[in-house]
Amino acid sequence: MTNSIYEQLNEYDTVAKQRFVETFSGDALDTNRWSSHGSGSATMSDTVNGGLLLTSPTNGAQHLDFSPSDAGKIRPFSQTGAVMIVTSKMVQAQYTNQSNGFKTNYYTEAGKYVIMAIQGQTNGNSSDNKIMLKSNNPSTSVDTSIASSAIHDLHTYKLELLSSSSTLSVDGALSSTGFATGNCNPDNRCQPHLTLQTAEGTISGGAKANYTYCEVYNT
Amino acid sequence: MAYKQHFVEWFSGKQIPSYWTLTQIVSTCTATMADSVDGGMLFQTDSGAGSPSASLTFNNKRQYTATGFKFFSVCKKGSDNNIGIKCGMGSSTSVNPDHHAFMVEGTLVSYKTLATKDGSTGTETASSASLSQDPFAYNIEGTSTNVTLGINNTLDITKTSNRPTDALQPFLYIQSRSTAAVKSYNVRYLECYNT
Repeated sequence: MTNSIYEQLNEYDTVAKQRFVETFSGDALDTNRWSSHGSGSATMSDTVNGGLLLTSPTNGAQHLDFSPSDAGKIRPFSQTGAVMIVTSKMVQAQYTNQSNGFKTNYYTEAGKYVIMAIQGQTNGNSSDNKIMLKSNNPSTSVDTSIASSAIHDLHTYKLELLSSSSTLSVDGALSSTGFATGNCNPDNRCQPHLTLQTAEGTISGGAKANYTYCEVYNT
Repeated sequence: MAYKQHFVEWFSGKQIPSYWTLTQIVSTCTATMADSVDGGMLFQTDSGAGSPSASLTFNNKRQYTATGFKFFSVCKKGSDNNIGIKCGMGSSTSVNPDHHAFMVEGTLVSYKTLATKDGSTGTETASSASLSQDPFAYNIEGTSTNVTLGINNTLDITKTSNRPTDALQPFLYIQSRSTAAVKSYNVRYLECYNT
């Protein structure tokens, strides 16, 4: 077997497209790669399989993406052919929302997005305790039907932007429970973004989630 | 078998990792992340006179052996005219390291070319691959008997003359060949390792 990562990842006679692998290991978040936005924090966890501990403000959101400023957005991924794979878990159940995926704009702007949304218990919303494929282009919310008791477990999420639709797979599901598909795409090139926020309530010390892996590539 | 030095650069994120050193050779060039699909790193000259040029290296931390390495990369020129690029393994940060094995593209050559230098003498062998602005993958391998260049996974050149012998580092280089013109190329992947 070849020792080359390139040859292992790419079929013979193809030119590799943009890709990165983030293992969230080390003494600090790689701030050459990631911009962290918000008054929370993004630190390495001193726990087994802890990876990155993303902590929101007491009432608000913490975002990671590739854009240090609105004028300096870095969006190397295609809105019609890209994959994000993330392994993560939310620490607490109540008043916590996690959303990871592709976004066209700076974090302060809605822009267009397709995300994997993990929503904890808030105040009785219909999206409570669900893992969903969500988008705003057009407005889309598709439940993966993961049991509410399992939404805060460590899962591997695969979000794929196709030519005119998107899919979300949880822990390798290709259909039925753990799988969702929607006719939605962003309308422009994208950056990856990882977001953790409080929702409809405050959390002392902030909402927390661990991320152990993130891989993104154009297909 | 013990694992040998192995490096993978995805060129993804908000800025170039700090383990790269940008060395200005003439005028002022930049190495930034591109805001474009598959853009990776954008290596760009300024528009000054005198062939603005720069290299991007490990600042002479040379961890790769000239007689047992592999190098893989994907790049794309921003223009066909008056730009020169050299990419591969070199022994210094200068325009013409004493020891090197480079893939050369642009106005410096007529075809994608393998250039090597053995400490004193540098020679080039042209491939059959045309110059173009299309993204392409290439690989360079140095062994104890030859240096090879593959373009898009096809072995194109085997070169035995003037092979490097000193330790090497990854090396990317850009040169503007005209005045008052910004030149650029994108690199979206780079990998090298000792075999």
